[in-house]
Amino acid sequence: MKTLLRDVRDVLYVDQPYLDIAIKGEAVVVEGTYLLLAKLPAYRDRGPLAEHRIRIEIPADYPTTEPKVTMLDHSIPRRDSFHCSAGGVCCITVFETWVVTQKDPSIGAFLEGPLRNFFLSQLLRQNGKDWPFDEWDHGVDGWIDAVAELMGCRPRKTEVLNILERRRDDHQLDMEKGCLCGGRVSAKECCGPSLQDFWMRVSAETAETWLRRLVDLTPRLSPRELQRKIHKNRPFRRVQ
Amino acid sequence: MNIPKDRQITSKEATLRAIAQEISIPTTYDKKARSRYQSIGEWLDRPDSKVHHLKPKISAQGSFALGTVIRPVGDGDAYDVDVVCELEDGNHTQMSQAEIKSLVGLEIKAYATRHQMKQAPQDGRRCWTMEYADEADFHMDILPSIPGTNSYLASLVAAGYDLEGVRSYTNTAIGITDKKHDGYHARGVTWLVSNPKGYLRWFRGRQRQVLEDKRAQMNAAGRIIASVEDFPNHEVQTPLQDAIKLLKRHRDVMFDGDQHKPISIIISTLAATSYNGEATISETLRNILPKMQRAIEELGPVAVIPNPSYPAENFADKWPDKPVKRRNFERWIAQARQDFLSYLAGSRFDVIPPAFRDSMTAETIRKVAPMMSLTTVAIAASVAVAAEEAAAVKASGTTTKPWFPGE
Repeated sequence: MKTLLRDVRDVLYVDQPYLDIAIKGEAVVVEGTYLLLAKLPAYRDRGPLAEHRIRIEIPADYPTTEPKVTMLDHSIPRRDSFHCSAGGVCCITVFETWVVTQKDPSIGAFLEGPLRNFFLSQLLRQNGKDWPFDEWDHGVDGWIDAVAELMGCRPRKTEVLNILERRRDDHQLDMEKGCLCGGRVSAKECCGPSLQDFWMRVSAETAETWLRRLVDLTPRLSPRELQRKIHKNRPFRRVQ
Repeated sequence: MNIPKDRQITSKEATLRAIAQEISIPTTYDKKARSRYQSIGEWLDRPDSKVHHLKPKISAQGSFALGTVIRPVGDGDAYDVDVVCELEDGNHTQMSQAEIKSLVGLEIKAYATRHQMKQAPQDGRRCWTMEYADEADFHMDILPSIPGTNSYLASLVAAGYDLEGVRSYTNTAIGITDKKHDGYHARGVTWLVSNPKGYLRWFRGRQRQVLEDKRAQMNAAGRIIASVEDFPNHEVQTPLQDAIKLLKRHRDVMFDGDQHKPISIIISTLAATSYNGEATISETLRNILPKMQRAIEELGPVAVIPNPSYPAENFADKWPDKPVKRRNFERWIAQARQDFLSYLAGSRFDVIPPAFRDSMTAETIRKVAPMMSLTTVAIAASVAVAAEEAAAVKASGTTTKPWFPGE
């Protein structure tokens, strides 16, 4: 925990004078005013682009568990469309895919990367611009998109599920055989190369965790919704 | 007010430089202080002086040697000029500390009489103190000393230090007089050791790159400086020196009149240790402030801040007896980081946050502020800058997309 505290201080002490850093329970908690600063040399003397009152709870087992970022003011709208819940919880990015793509998923990289990108995007979006780095769809669909992008396959739940299960089971990739995504050509000509990369980045344990995450994210359907889903393409016909 | 273009302030760096300039000792006072201690040196070394045969040499120590002297905050405060009077042929086997102290004292008193000084020199614990009461108030502390290489080595070996790291500071060590020393009246005993010239060499060494660059510039301009050790302080100001001046001003304002305020030598040592050759004052402050804060936080229960040129000396040796000194240092460095960063990170260059203004004194800022001149970059709209920043993120390949997990 002390190492994590030190890492957080190393990053924030240089540029963030209004954030207090403390250990609370099993997390390092950062709270106060976050300054969105310009990094381009030309604008360094310009001052902050925006200020947000936030709290970041960084769990002791970071980066296994994602930091929780909560807005303490209303400087960004608390709406799904702004990736901020009614309670102020910010949805910075699909954390697990970000972690496995980083050479250095340190807390410093998170604060300087996804967190800063999030508030930079918010500033532009609130001023009527598009999301500068795009956005993921809400809910499980966005998560599947993010994982599929990492796998290099089509963003379909069945394909993602299949590949994750194979990874969990330590399935050996055979580039000459059919692709795991279900494509008609060999893996070599389909998603094979990116899947090899995926196999390197994501361990069997991580795949197991992601499968559980996929289950958690998938909304539980009410009986009526289930019925609708079953009969989506076969409209229920009442027997006269 | 029309300010000539070359004096206009258009960046934070220029603001800091102007403030550092404003709080520095005026050049005329600096020259006056130097001429005064050189005059004492000449007096001590005149042929009929009682210490002439011991080859007295006067040199500055402390902030005058380091080039980090700042103006006092209060009107009634004076500049402290610390000088060392080294008797190069003095020997601890032939004379006691008390004898050396009184011999130097006789000459200093004679000097004061000769120059019709209003106050007689005061016999302090280690130094002779002279008060100059004219338009430039000075307290001059003159520390009698003799060469102390042997004592230096003996004390380091006794304390178990590796001599390899301090080899280059050995020749400049001195033995100093101290009334509280057990052997103050005895001949042949080991004296207390100090090493102000060694410290200066270490301090300059920490800025070697910056000084080498300046030396090359001056040499190219026809002014030959043989090595960075030969730089006269009043001719070159480095980012580290300016940063230390700003920190000292912050300290002086925060602890106005408090005897337990953080001492300058600890500030200078921690700042120079943390310094990494940054070329600007703002980069220097951004680098050293967090490191200084961490260095203090990571000190053990018994704080040890060794003198780099004499590791057996602990600059924080008074902290165990007076815990308030340590608490004050911790409080000060945290406050200094916040106040400086409130300007460096949290403001536009021409907007001085109240905390930073107060810490440098409103009067200082009032002199600097009129020189500030807005630039188009400084008033660029946040959205336009954010768009450029976003483009830079894209170019670096570190984009991330926000996501909403749903209810």
